[in-house]
Amino acid sequence: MFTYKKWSRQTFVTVAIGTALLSGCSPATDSPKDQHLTFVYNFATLSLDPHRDSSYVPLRAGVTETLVRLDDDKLTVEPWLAKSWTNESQTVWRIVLQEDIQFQNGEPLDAAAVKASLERSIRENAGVKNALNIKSITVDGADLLIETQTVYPEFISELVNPNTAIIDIDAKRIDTQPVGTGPFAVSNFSPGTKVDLTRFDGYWGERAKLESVDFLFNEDAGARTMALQSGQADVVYRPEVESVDQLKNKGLTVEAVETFRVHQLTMNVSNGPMQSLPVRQAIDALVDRDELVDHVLQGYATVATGPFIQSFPFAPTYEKQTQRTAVSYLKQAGYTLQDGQMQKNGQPLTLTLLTYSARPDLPLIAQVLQDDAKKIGVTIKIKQIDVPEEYMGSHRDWDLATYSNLTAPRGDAGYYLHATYHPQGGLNFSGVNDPSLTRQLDRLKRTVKPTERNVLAEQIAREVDAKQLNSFLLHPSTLVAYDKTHVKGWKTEKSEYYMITNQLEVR
Amino acid sequence: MGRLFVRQTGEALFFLFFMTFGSFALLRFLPGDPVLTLLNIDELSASPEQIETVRRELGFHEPLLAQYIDWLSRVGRLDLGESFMTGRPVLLMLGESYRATFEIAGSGLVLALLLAVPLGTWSACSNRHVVRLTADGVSLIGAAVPSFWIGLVLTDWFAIRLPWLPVMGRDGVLSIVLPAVSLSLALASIYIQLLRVNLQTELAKEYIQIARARGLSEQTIFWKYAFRGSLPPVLAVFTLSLGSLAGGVVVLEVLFAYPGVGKLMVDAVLQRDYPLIQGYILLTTAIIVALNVIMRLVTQHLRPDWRGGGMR
Repeated sequence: MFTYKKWSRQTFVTVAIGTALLSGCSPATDSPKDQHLTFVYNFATLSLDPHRDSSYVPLRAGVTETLVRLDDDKLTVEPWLAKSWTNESQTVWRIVLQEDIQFQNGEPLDAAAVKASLERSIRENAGVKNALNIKSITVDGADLLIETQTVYPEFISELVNPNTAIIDIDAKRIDTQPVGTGPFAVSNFSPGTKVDLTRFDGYWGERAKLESVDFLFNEDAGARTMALQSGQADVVYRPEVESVDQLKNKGLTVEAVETFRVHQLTMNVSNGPMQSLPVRQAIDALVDRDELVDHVLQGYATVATGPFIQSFPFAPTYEKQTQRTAVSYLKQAGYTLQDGQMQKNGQPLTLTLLTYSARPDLPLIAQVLQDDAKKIGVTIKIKQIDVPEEYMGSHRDWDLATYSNLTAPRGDAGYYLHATYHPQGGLNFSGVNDPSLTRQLDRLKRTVKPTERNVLAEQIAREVDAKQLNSFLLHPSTLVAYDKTHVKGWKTEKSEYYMITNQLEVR
Repeated sequence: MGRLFVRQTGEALFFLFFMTFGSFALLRFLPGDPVLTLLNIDELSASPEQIETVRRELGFHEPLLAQYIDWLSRVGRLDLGESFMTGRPVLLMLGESYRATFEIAGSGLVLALLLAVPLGTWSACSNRHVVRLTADGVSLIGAAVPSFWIGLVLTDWFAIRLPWLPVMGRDGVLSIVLPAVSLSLALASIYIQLLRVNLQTELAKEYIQIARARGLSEQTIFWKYAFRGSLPPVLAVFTLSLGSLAGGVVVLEVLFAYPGVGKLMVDAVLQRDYPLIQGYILLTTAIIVALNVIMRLVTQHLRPDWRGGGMR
């Protein structure tokens, strides 16, 4: 017996020492270079193909650029690789390109290269194909002539889409080493883990201040926060909300910026009790938005007054109306409180509310609404679904749904308004078929001039509000944490498109 | 042995067919539409007609059996198709992810065995209370505490308080340490107990007493008879562990941003990436089946009196 014991003990001690040596003998990271930044992003991508990657990493990492970009302050579409654009006719756009731009491999960016890149994005991405609606692209000297299939005023704003980024399509391995025109070039890509970026010295704009960037992916908020706390990351996108106070106490900066997303209650207006305007108004009045912001989103959201954040030029300024209660609206709709329940013609008001777990805030919002409704005698039955677009599109056995929408991701209201309120819209789950609204949406579809489009979009948004076609709850914020004494030039953008820029530097 | 091999291969092929066709059919009946993801319906406008066009282009209107036969014929040419999410070849993506998973799962398993074999044998052979208490303690912690929590604690100690190891990523040997150690504690707990109980059972058997009476050395009795005799159940559990690890260690992969196959599959299922899911099911089933065949052959070699898990 002693033999086994001796052997076992010796083996155990050897293993223990070996493991300790393996795990602790050298530092984890090399000493940082000058002007090197480590950024941790909350989504991972397995492909850097700028025309397919739905995480938009190449654009966010400063590798690629689009023809136009969204100005985060004015929220208007501004020139980028395109210097200017004009309408040659109702369906033909002339795009004038910036001069003397080269790709990161030294190839020149000219009209032919842009044409090839746009054609590839259409070929590779069915969503882009639909969104751009292009019939033909012609090279006209140094310019491009792009003809759309129909009159399509949103065309220019659709070019903000990161999946339309301009790349050299002749470069090898576009999925791991795309060649764009941005201030940083990809030096190495580990799918799902990180992108190593190095400064592109031939950048057409101001040369980047950073020499290199590690663009890391981690989908666990706790791990991202720990990376910042350990000093292994300089900037962290969406740190753990619960750790925000702790980070602030350590002297770190946590920025919260409202996004283009709106959490809303989608209402089924095609059948059931939600066909009645006062019932829709009652549900809208029932929602305590401040409570949702404070308790569900822990303060990191802003109350929504409509689908668009207020800084958009087409977002209406809603006049403050006398606050009516949900009960008064229900009484107007013919409901009375009997035996603790709101009833009409002996039928209690019972609503089915859809929710889904892909956005964790939404089921919580559904529960808060259910509790609030119960207090005034309205029964809300919550139904958990997997894919909201599929369920709402193919079933009519629901009255309300918690849903989250990007309302103007490319700076134009047309996409959201048309998709959500036009009878032919892909996101018209409410079943809206309102002739007056449809006429206005069709007019918007034909209106090219931006100022006129804004006025019209605002009118439509007002009409949506007056008819209470949906109820808008809040705009969730994006959080970014970093050490302001160390990182300079960081800007948390509402669009969430542009992250690693030539303005970033470390001190 | 030859007949056994042929029979096992036949069973394996049938199982592969059953799994791939079953999953192919089930995927099509599950809620969720990959076309909506492909068209990025959350951000881009698409009319019902455009959605139908893409659906038709992808062949979703074809009968289920025709779709399956088409997939099977491409598998025959070693073409698992392209991922809906990335457009990259499924075989390439799975290869990359399996490599990452095997790095942490393999290291975790080796560490677990390095911990479990000495501790299990020591506690089986020793009558000292402290030895048993140590073995029980490690087992209990490994079994009761989730590996992600162990991962968080280890990260706090060895990556934040003592900045020796990276918090995340896949950047050399050091980045494997934290996920591997977190995983090894959970795995070791099973093997410590299993090995101890089996060794104690073997050592108490009559043939061990006879071997001692015949004057065989303790070394020979232990290694040639007792230890070897205790291995088949451990091997069976080891094979099961390998099979389950081959499916990915998703929680640790997410926590440490290690791009393994578990995380890849969660994303693929969420986005209904049919080619990727099908490729994964095919490869994982093949790995598990192959492991089982190897385990049975090894077990038979160790204990010729065993046939298919039972003793003659």
